[in-house]
Amino acid sequence: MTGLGLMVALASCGDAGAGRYVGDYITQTDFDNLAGWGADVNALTREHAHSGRFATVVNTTREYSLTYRLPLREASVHALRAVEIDAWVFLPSSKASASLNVQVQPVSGVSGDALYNEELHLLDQVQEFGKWTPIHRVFVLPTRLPAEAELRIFLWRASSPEPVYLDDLRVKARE
Amino acid sequence: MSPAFSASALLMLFALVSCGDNAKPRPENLLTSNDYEELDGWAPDGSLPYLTKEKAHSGVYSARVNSTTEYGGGFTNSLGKLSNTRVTKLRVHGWVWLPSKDANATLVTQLTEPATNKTIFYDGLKLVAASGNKFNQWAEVDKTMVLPANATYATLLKLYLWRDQSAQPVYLDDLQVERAE
Repeated sequence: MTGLGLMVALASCGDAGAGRYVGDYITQTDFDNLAGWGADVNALTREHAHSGRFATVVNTTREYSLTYRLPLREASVHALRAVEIDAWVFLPSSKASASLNVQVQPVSGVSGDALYNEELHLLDQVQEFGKWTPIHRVFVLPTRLPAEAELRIFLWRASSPEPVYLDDLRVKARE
Repeated sequence: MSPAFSASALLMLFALVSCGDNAKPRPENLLTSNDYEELDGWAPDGSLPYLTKEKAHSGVYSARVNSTTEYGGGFTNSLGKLSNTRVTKLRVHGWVWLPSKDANATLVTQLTEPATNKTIFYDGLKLVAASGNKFNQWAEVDKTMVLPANATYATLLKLYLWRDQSAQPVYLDDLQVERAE
């Protein structure tokens, strides 16, 4: 049964040394329940969607996608060791050099020197273009982040000349 | 069943449970709905003042109005973006939690013209009566209304919970907006 235990561990998307997922999500959304409900509608699009009708987008007129932002103490009931992200992205071509960023800012609502900023370059994750592709990454956070620091999760266009889409974002809290 | 097969079947099961897609079927006449579970963190300032975990009909969140929050659970979008076909009748369905008969908040359905900001339709559903005088429990509210013929593709549909005269907090969850026949 050791093999089975190993498989169970694999199946729960585990990464050693980055905390444990005990069932709490920081956020999970297909962006459909956000359109019209207070989120910035200009960051949502119906051009492409992996599920439902809406996805969030970056393009030449929009540098950042719809952004998740909450103080760490509101984002998770326990101190976070890491955030584990599963999402689907749509890149039109190999020129679509956008990234998925996880950032921690010391002051809510202010973009200053980040306490943490990690970019997942989507071109490193995606081999096929013009279709929805799943991505997965565990972002290990620094220890002893202040509880009032703001966690942000967003797509950044970077230098992409083409639009890039994100849908079905699920962020697990690893404690 | 061989042990190898059962182990791989079990693995598949765990994979489905922990990493599966939770695709929700979407009825064709559903224009929008919300259980308020996905909103926290996605407003321009992050949190929305009306979101609360004090009570929930489903999940852990609901929308709340109280003495410091006049409006809550709100939604705005143009009719044309909500529906590919003309909406002549609208059904609003949700769950509310009222502490007493003094918690007479209102669920407002409103149509406004974006160019002039003129209201062309207003319906205020008084929740004490609409809930059937059910207090300290989740009560279903349901209303179908006929929309005016001058509503267009660009007309904005607004729905929100208004504290109105309520001295006590009122909660709303699982709001559904449908095109009715």
